[in-house]
Amino acid sequence: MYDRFADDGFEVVYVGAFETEEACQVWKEEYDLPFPVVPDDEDGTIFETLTNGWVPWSVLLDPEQKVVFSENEFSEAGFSKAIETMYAKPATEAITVAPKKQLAPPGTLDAAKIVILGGGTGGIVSANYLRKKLKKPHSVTLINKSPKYLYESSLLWQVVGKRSPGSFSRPLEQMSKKGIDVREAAVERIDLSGRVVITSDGEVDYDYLIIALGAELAPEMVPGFDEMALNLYTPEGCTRIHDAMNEFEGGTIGILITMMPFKCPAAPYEAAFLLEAMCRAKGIRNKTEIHLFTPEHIPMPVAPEKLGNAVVKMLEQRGIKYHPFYTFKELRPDTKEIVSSTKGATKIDLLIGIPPHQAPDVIRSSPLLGVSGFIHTNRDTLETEYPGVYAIGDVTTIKLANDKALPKAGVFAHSQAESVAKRIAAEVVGKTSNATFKGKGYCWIEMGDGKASFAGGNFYADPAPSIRILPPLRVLHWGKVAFEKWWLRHWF
Amino acid sequence: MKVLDGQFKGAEPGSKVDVSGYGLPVKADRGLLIVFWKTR
Repeated sequence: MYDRFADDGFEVVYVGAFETEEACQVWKEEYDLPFPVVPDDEDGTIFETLTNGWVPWSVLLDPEQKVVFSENEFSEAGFSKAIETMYAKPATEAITVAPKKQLAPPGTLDAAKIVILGGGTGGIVSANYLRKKLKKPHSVTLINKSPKYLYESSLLWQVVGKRSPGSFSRPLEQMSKKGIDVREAAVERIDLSGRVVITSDGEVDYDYLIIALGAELAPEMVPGFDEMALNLYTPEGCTRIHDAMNEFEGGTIGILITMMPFKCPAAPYEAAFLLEAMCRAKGIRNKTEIHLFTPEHIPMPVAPEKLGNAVVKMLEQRGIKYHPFYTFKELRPDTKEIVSSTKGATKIDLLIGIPPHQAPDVIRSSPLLGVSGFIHTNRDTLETEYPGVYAIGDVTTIKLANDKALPKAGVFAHSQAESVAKRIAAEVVGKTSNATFKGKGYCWIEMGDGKASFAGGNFYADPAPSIRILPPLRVLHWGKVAFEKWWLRHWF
Repeated sequence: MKVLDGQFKGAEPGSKVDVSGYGLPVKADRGLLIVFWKTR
């Protein structure tokens, strides 16, 4: 990123908060940084002025020293786009380019075209709600590159052998009997001006667009990932984990979160609990060490610390070694080691990996991309800056009152899809809707031994999310099972 | 990780900052990215 913009005069400086000159020199050498690394003054003046008290924190100033962004998470795609925009040459004459096609006023469309990109949770929920609320000739079209919907929450049960592959997916085509036009195609480009989606199977016009494309897994960003790690976030990876655990006779299991953000904040911890229970059931627990490595400072860091601390305590009680602040550097498949830039190499016999996540390519190359590397929307209505274009679920970044990002989780995509569908449906028929996303969410935390914990609350609470956690109970595990059954039946 | 207790809003996008008084060994007139870090 620095190399791309150096010719424009772009500069970078690393400022150590409450660090010494010596520590800065060590940091610079350790990371081989070509930029200055300097300490702040002993009062932390610059840090206190420009950040919200958290590290890492990045502030971009334009040539007039106006703040372009001030962010907690790092995204090369998002940052690069912001820097690129900063250096964009102004037009030599004032040209106002009107959109090629405008959104029609509410209530004036006889046959509105609502197009939904993505057949995950947000996509199927919004499609169902819209089709129920809007009769033909208004059309509801859902475009997805895969013919199937996958209920990802059940992947962990596949790991432990409680679900067979394919048993928790449904053909999206089943929704066509409800009058939803389902198209199997890859989205290649979104023409926001012309209100057209260009897909691998042709162009699709829209009046209203809901972008529910999710967060893409990007294991290729970590050399050696496919060779050394078993991917916790894919059906194929979970099959491999299940098979590997069947063969496993003891040693070191590592669960590695490679990078932030990742979807479903609880999943790596659930995997740790479930694998620990599996080891006990196999009679190899006393021959097995289980480690969880994460760049987070605490489990589920967006929630209040008491929740994270409760999970840490659960990990301790089960003898699972927790490594927060883990600065992952690389994998060494030849020696089966994971390497940290500060803690050296650790040999792992069985590595379960959570790969990097990013917005799909069609979004990364679109004007919709925000500095976070995902789409930024109005946090209540989920509308983007483009009229009639909404984004929901994991493809978005929504800032909370504590400046952290709303976690990526299906429960939020579900709720956002419902409110967006209600708003669009009302607007199409010339009414108004007060439906907004309220920031409420919950999740189960599978603990193994037939029990689950449950956490939920209001993520929009100010000054910080207000979340409660229940202790592990069998009834909570069965509640999760019942929810899965209902979900797969209800939407299809 | 949280380094400072208390409520800080940070630099608001769109606001102007004058870094000339900070003694940073970089120019700030061509675009500047400031990255804050801390060891554990």
